[in-house]
Amino acid sequence: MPAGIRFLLDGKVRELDGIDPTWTVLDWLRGEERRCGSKEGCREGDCGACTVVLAELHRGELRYRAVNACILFVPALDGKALLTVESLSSPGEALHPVQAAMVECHASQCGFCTPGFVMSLLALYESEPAPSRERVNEVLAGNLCRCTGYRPIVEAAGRAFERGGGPRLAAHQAALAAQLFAIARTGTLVVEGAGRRLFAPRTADALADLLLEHPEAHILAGGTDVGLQVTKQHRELHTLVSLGAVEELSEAVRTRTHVEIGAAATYTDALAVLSGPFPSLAALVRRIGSQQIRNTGTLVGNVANASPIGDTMPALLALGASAVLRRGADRREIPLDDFFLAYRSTALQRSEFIERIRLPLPRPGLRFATYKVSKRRDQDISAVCGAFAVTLERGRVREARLAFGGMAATPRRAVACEAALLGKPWTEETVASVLPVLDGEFQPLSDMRASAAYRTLVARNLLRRFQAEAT
Amino acid sequence: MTPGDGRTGSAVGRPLRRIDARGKVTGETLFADDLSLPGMLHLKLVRASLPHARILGVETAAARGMEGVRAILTGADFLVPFGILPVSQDEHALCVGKVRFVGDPVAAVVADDELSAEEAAALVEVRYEPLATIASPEEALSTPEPRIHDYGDGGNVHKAVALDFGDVPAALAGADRVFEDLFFYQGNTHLAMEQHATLAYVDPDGLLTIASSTQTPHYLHRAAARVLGLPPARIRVLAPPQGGGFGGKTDPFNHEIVAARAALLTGRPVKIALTREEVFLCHRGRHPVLMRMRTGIDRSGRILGHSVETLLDGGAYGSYGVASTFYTGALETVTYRMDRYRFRGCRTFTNKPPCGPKRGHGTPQPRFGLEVQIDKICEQIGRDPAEWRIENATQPDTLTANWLEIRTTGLVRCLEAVVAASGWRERRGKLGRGRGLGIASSAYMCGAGLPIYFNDMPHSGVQLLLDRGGGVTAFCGSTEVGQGSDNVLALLVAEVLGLLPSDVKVVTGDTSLAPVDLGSYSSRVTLMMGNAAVDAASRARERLAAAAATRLEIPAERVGFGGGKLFDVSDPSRSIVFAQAVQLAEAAGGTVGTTGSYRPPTPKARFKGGGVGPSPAYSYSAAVVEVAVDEATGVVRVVKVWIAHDIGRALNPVAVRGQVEGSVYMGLGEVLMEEQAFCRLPPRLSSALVHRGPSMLDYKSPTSLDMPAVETILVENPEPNGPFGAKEVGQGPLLPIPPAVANAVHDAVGVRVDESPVTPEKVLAALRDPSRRFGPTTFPEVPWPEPVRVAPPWEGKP
Repeated sequence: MPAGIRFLLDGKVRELDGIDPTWTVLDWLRGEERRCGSKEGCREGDCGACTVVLAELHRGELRYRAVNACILFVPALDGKALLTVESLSSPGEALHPVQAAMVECHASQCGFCTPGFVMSLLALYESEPAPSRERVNEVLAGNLCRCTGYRPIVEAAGRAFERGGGPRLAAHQAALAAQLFAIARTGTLVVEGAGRRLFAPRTADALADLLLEHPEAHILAGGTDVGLQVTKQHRELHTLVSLGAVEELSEAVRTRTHVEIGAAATYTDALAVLSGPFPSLAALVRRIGSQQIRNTGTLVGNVANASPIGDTMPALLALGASAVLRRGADRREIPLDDFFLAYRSTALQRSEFIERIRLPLPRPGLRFATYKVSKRRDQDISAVCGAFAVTLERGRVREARLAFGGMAATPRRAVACEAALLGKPWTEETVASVLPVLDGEFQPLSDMRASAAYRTLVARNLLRRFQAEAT
Repeated sequence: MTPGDGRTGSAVGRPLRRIDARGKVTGETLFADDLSLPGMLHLKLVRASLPHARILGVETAAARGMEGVRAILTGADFLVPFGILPVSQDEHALCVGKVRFVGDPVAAVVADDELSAEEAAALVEVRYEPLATIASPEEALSTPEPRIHDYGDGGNVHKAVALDFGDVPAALAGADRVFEDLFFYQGNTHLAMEQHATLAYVDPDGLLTIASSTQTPHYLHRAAARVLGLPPARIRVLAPPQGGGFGGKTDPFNHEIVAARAALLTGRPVKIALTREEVFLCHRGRHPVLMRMRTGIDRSGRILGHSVETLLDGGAYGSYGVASTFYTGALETVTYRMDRYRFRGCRTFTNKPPCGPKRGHGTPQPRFGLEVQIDKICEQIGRDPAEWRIENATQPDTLTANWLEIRTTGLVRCLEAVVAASGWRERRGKLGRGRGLGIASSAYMCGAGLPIYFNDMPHSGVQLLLDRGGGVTAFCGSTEVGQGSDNVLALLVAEVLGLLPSDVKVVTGDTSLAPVDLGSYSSRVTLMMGNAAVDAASRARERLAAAAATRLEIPAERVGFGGGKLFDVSDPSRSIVFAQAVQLAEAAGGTVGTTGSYRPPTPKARFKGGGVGPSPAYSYSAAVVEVAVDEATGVVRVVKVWIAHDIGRALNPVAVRGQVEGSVYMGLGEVLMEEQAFCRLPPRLSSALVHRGPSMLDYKSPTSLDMPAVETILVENPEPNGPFGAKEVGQGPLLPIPPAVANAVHDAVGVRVDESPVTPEKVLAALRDPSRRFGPTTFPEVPWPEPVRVAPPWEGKP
């Protein structure tokens, strides 16, 4: 078993041993490698100027995903190929089609964000044959540009695809796949340096054992939140156990009765199974973070983080989701209703982790929608997030589950309001009549995102909107 | 090509690619933070944790003892003050005596690596005696003591100005109707993608070099020489290409000067790269401005008198603030005829990061007020706001009430263009509840008529070097911040010499190698550097034409330039290639190098305070915005923007469109979501006044998903003062966007949000308020000075 992190960069195997496991890929690239094309604009996964692409083998297929290098720890590169803007062309060589289109469309003004945009578009170009304009916008929303107003960049994307030519990197795919196969790891990766250590097991059993052994360890999934703790809050994380390489937890599947999302499944993975049964939830997930964040962040991580403003929790609560928890060899399944105890406090015990979230498929008669209200459409934290699931029988409410984020110290259901709806006709009047009950259930805070009064009013209005839309 | 007028048609008006595009898409362009030298040390600043406090002591022993620490500096090392304006030399590179906002730099640590510098900086202990915090302009007015600075117009007033152009109270008394409104425009910041960085080093021959993210290398050069006590000739300032400026890099900054001193002290290269949080603390962004506007009209709607009072929250230092204060009044008169005009402006110091110039410098705030007030007036008197604007637009070759000289104006054409394109007449008021259209227009300057420090020298200089290989290099101190100034320089030289822009190399942003250009601010570069470039290129052209004329045996007037050749215009088959022409000229008269320079015309405004506002030309913009307002959440979605901009002449129409769209984007960000806001920490954490969210996590700017379709219309109406007729485009098109959005929201749901940003919360509040309005309700008592009285041009002489 080779010690140290092994990954590919420009066709060469790179090995890094004895490094600080919380070293970010961006700092490594800029500081150590002097590859300065990837830029730092925020150091928190917001601006996308640091976007790089990871190529990895997934079920034997190569896939390219854009990620934020600024909050990605170097150990996450293990077993993957890293592509940066420098990987695309050397001086004098022809430009990649997305770069050429960017030049032609005047898609670069100051040029600082440009390499990040190029890499986001590269991942798209190498993965999807003819994305819609909406899809292009969705991909680009994780890259901020302060100069252009985006139109020329979106146009450049269109031009690159129009011109066709297909994936440029396809020619090297077989070789790359063989190289990735060659560096694939079977056992646990251990990275120790600068007084910190990280374990990246490959199996759930190994993960469970490691957590028993190191109950003080911080669990690292996609790292979109833990990364910030290091780069922004300068928190000292001595021991990290990463579950990103546990393949059996990376599955997001639809069974006969449930959608099951594993702890290592990214939002992008989850989207693939959520879109069918839960289009409204899928639409919301598409507004979480950015493409880069969705490519690394996990839905289970969002739940475990237990932030009162996490975007997926109201929907999961409303839909009656449960969490399968594991500690050592012991498993227990608890409803999410019982998971969130207080502000950022959960039912998870020491050494316990969420293995998967189970989401029952909608039964006939279920009406469901989830709404997020934020200043910016994408990549913004909600002021209020509401999710409503109502089952009707002959026009009357048989079951109601109404959940909110941003209204209390945890994501929470409005149980009194739910009870008040039971048995009543599903009408505008009924909803109007229970709104005072709703008001009484929450005492939201006033903070930088919204005032208490606004939150209360919008919570009411979202429920009214749901009734109007879900008749 | 017409010989004589300097035009060849090889570059102007063509949608050519930018000369610097390849390096940007490959990531090869080196920005300041990408620069690195062997033996380089790293610098970190220790920043104040209190908003207002006397410094009792700075304990550096613990930090000094840390491994890898090379030097520690404090205020004692920087006793000479500096500041961008000669009248506001109120900054020290490291604080001397007291700190004035959370983030004010107190000490600096130089270490072998960034992490060591950061860790050592955390060990520097500063002992403070807290002083009362001044959190707002209202507090600044009511709390004259303690003073944040010991200069200014008394107490915590930095600058108070009063200008009367005719008797406005009399005009209002005689008006058919008088309207009074209060507006508030929130502060916001540039958020350039590139965080400021500086690398300073001393050459083997003793030249101190400061490579920095600066839009104004010349001003940094002056400030550094002053503070460091070095002859300017011993300092070289380099401005590498920048990752956006928008006004945020136009001040000389403390970290630049500290890095320079540290390099001198250690003899090693010293680098500092600010974090995003530190960039928020550097700020110099849009001033929050409270406004009171009074406007009197006659029966036809004509403005008889207009009065503007502004109260600016300046933050902790002067910066450009005196100019910013005047700018909140200076351009109020340039769009619509007004018979008399009265301006009162007051900038206060507060314990917050200093405000300064951001795209539109001081003018988007009153523009918001004026354009919204006109919308209200038109609603009250039953006039179509587009028609009113067309009817009342200022005319070419006229003077404004405050003596600004309007030469060309495309305002009416801009208005007509957006009215037609948006279907204003057919669609307005017919879009159904929740949808609406709003209109606004604006004007901006093409460079300030006066430099920042008084002098008689040119504002911009260009030197050309023509080499025997046919190469052309243009040297100019101008600064490429992303707007494309390098491209304009190459383009104009190419146009005169019949070349392509890509044939011209440029050397810019270098105070040692290139003549002075004052910097990338006030939308001055295209016009001023452009005229200097045309001047230099025309002289080169004369020499080449003379040499070619001799060889072709024709009079010099018959020599044409184009396609990399010089030819006989009567018989283009008789030609010589460009390189040969250079060789002939060199043989005939020595090395072919020419210079050109530009100085703007003397302003007509010859009164105290008249220095702010005059410009060689004014650009005009008009915009129609369509919005959809969600009455359940208050969320405003901009559906489409139609914008027309009077560019004079588009040197490169694609680049111009890029600037227009970028301005629209930035205007939308300001009016919909961006806020540089502050709060107090909880009492257990010192209650200090701090930035509410100095990160991109909390400071949101629009993404591609928020951007609506933008239809851009370029109105060309060549400006005699502009190079080949060109005017500015970098700032003006931002101005109509915020008020057009506010006006559209009113059209959509019938409420007035009289302050920016127009957030969902404010829209909902207005919808629930009986007044159907959200906005400020009081304007505090301000001790205005005795006004400078100047009759408008039609009432007398200045």
